[in-house]
Amino acid sequence: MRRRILAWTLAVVLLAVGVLTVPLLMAAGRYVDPPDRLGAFALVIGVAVGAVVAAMAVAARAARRIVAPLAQVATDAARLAGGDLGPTGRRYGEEELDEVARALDSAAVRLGELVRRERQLAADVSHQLRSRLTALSMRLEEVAALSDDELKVEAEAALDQVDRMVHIVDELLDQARTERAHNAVELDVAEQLAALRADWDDAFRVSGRELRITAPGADAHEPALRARATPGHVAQALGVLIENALQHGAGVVTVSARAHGEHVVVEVRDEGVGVPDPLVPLVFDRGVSGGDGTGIGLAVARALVEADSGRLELRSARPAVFAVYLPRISS
Amino acid sequence: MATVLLAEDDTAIAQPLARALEREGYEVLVRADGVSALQTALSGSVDLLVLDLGLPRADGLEVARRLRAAGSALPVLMLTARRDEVDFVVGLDAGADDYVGKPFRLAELLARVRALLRRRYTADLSASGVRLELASHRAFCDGTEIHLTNKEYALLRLLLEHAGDVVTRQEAADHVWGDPDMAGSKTLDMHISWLRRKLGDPAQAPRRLVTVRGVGFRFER
Repeated sequence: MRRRILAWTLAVVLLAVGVLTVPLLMAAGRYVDPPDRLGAFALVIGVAVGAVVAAMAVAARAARRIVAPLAQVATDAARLAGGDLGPTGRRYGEEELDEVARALDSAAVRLGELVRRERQLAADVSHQLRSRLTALSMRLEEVAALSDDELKVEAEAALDQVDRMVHIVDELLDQARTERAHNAVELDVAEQLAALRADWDDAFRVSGRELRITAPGADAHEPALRARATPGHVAQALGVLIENALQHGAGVVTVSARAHGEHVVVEVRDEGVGVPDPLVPLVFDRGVSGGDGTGIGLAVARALVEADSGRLELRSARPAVFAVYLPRISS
Repeated sequence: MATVLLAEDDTAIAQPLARALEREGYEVLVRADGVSALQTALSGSVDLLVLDLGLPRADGLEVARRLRAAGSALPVLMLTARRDEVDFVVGLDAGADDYVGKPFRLAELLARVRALLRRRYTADLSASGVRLELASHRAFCDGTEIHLTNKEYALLRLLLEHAGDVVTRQEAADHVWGDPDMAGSKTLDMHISWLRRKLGDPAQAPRRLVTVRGVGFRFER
């Protein structure tokens, strides 16, 4: 786009300069005496070249000013497509651009809500089905345990059917999960955490707080800690946790990563009083925390992590410690 | 006998599960929400907590966390409809000792319950003047150390863990040899008689290791 603006500007300027220069040169040829004629030609051409250069410099600046916000909107759109569902809240003071930015933000919020609802639905279906199947299979086991041989055989056969149904439920849920995690890639956890620093340093400086980040693999001596996840999801979820700690917590905010068997655990803790007891069962409920337009909230953050087959849990209420569990890739 | 606290809000599951645990000889307390389950667990009168994850008022993970934060070492078996491997990690991280996904077969759940209750006895086991130091794997009879083979030790430990109760031949065979079919073999009887000899128990009128005819054996308290 920038190149096209410059090409058009160049064409227009060359035309305008040409229109002015050619008659001037012709006039110089006719009216200026031969000894001064060369000097006059040089002057006219010099001024013309100068005008073209100046015009192009102005055009380049204008193009940059027009194109930079467009490039930013394009980056935001690409991030959204990559699964980063946080509204940016960025505005540019240009009506048409702001309309696009607003549309992107509301798409992000709507997508986040969709992911959350899908996760909720899958969790509810899974929970309800498994609970009913458990109740059913225990009654059948009771029948099998307490009755004569003939009935026992029938009860065992019914139990086998329950087992098969469980297997089907597992497979269906597995399928849904694999589809949800199609954007997941191999991530270097230390790199992901280092990127957080760039995003949050300003906010921490303004509030006079400290952000501490520790991850194995941050220096060359240790093997890197690798996880399988969607980069946008991880960044968003950790962003929500850090923002939470910054807003509701106190003292140093520590983000630390460790390996736990086949999983990577990233913890975000602060030194505040923690989550009040009555709020503990509700922190991941929709509308209870965050989600006020500036961020996506813990409910969506949890859904994003779970979409990558991970988990987001409150590990400790006092002090508040949140943990993100992600599938680990062993080196 | 051991007391099991069952924290489960779904009565369709809690009732048959409580009955099954009672059939196994456990005393069962049922609580239907996290807060009252935690209170009961902390009262010190239970030996094992079977904890459902989806409890009202405080969920299972939160109950486990608060229990551990309060310094309790009560064995916790977590029950949950979420049975991915990561849920296992989350549960253990919260302080659970073991984890059973719903739906489960009763036999599996009861085996986990037994294993957790066994693991609880990490201190010494003793009855009728016979004492096992579990940490050092040593056995004492009336204060004098006696030397046991591995099988004898395992058998004596099983009997002492259930001192006062009958251990069936099947249980002994399954536990010591990992093969319930050994229940009918002479090997089990031979190990019992060797144990009696080492414990100074007369075979005709044993005071400690008693045969319960047609069922199994009982170690007197």
